[in-house]
Formats: sequence, structure tokens, C-alpha cells
Amino acid sequence: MTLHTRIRTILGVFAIALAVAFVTPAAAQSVNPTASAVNEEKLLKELNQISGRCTLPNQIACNIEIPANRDWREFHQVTLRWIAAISVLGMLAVIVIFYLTRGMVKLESGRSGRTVTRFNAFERFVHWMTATCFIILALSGLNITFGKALLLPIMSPEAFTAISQWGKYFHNYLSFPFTIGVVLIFLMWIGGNIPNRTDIEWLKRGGGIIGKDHPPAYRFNGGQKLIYWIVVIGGAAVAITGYILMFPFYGTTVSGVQLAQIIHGIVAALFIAAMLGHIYIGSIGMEGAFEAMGSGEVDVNWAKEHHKLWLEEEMGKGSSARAKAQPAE
Amino acid sequence: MKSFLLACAASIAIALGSWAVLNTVQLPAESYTGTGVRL
Repeated sequence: MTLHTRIRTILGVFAIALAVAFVTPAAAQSVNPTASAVNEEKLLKELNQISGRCTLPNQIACNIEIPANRDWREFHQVTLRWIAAISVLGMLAVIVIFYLTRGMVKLESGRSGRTVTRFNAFERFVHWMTATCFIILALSGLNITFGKALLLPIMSPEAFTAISQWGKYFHNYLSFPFTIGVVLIFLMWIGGNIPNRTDIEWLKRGGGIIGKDHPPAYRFNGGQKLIYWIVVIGGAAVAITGYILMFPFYGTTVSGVQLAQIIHGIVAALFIAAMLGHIYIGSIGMEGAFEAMGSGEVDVNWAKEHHKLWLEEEMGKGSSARAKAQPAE
Repeated sequence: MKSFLLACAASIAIALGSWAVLNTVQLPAESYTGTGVRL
């Protein structure tokens, strides 16, 4: 072997040794799940879960650790409670402050003694079917989120269990008439709820709620249109996600069901807050408003103040839509 | 008032009807396993 060849051999061995020295630590950083001394945390970061093999029919039971589940638990035990508490109690606080400062929106021109049909019997039936279901769904849903923290400390575990179990039955099965109600509301009132320029003007003038103005409106004003779309979009969102929760794993995975629960909880909380505002303005917030969904008949002066353009349309129609004289009480 | 009472009656009827249907087909028992295997 010549000197030149020896030098080349030594250099070659040195180069291989260098390569091994630098490459080996990098390779050691990748996780080998079969290694006996594998770091559990590293494995979780690599795979996002640790699953075993089992003979159970339900293969989901073979998942040993899924860190994403901790995030979900944090959401429904902490974050959702904050979102729901802030939105519901916040809305209640706004309503109380508003009522104390503004008071009831009075019928400024007084009652005329003549009425006009605002909602027919079928419309009122659909409204009340959806509304009664919504109230029970809201209360039983709030019990799922807050019951353990608020009700359990003040009652026996047996009583809380019975309330929660029956609440869940009501929550599940009243979802069907509620969904039918939302679909009927969508179809029944879509014609009058397409936003237009009148709504922008109505909103600019505070809708007659802020201040003493009476901006003209058709059958549904800007505020009512907002409520309509909250009911339609919010109702659809809670219904779809609710059915995913009722029938889990039909086309969804565990993470899909968790996502459905997150959407369901957030939308439901905001929905309840919005409906509190709707209930307020439809009852003690405005004189004469409840009659629209109570008897279906509203005073002509009420219609003139709050839905002037709609009243003009109604008066322009046939005799059946004309204002009826109300017998003196 | 009549519309309200009718609405309540309809809600109860639909809820009981859906309970009867789901109870008959036993969907929940299958759905919770996620495998189609009845518990």
C-alpha cells in the first residue's frame, strides 16, 4: 500500500466517523414508540394520542390517552361556563338597566279602539310551539352546564339526578318539535325578513327603542329581522349539532362529536341571551306588543307607530284585512 | 290562549311520537358503541 493510498484510507475512515458522530444524535431525537424507555410526553407530541390493541368491539375504548380530550374537558367545564354566564347574565343586566332608564315603550297616541290582524292562528301556533320548546330546552341545557355547580350544592344528589335525567329526556325529545318549529318559521316568514334599505334607516333612528322616534317599518322591522335570522341560523346550528350529539359516531369521530358539543354550547348560550332580549321587548318592554302573539290582533295606533308601512299595505288590501272595530270595555 | 295550548299539545305529541319511534328502532344502543354492535 502506497503512502498516498494510506492517507486516502485514513481520511475516508475519519470522514465516516465524523458522519456517524453528527448523524446519530439527530436520528436519536425521532421517537421510537417500541423503545422500552420511550418518553411518554414525546410520544404524545408525535402521535397526538396513545392507543393500544384490544379485543373490545368498540375500538374507541382502546385509546389510552388523547391530550385533545383535556382541552375539550377544559372547554365544557370552564370556558363554556364563562361564555354562558357572561352572555346570559350580561343580557339580563342590560335589560334591567334599560328598563330602569328607558322604561316601557308607551303607545304615544293611545288606543284607537280598532284592531288589525297581525299574526293569524297558524303563525301564533308555530311561534308558541317553538317558544315553549325553546324555554324547556334552554333550562335543561343550562342545567347540563351549570347544574352540578349551582343546583347540586342546594339539593340532595338523588333529587339532582332525577331533575337532570328528566331534563335530558325533555332536552332530547323536545328537540324534534323545536326543529319543526324552526323550519316552519323559516318558511312562513322568509318573505318579510329579507333585509332592505328601510331596515338601515330603522336602525339609524334607533328603532324607536332608543329615543322617542318612530321610524317606519314593513311587517317586520330591523330588530325583528335580526331575531328572525338568529332563530333560523342559531336554531339550525343547535339542531344539527344536537342531533350529532344524540346520535354520535354516525359519520363523525370523537373529535367531531367534541366539536359539535363546543358549537352547540356556544350557539345555545348566545341564543338564550338573544331570546331574553326578544322576550323583554315582546312583553314588558313595549306596550301592546304581546297582543300580536297573544290574540293576534294589535291596535291600529300601535301598528301606525311601529309598522306604518305594513299598516298602509294592509289597509290597501281587501276588506278582510281592514281594521276591525273593537267593542268598548 | 287557544294557539298556545294547541302548541303545547303538539309539542308533547311530537316528543312522545319521536320517543316511541327511537325506542322501537333502538338507535341509541347501537350508536354509542360506534361499531354497529348492539350492547
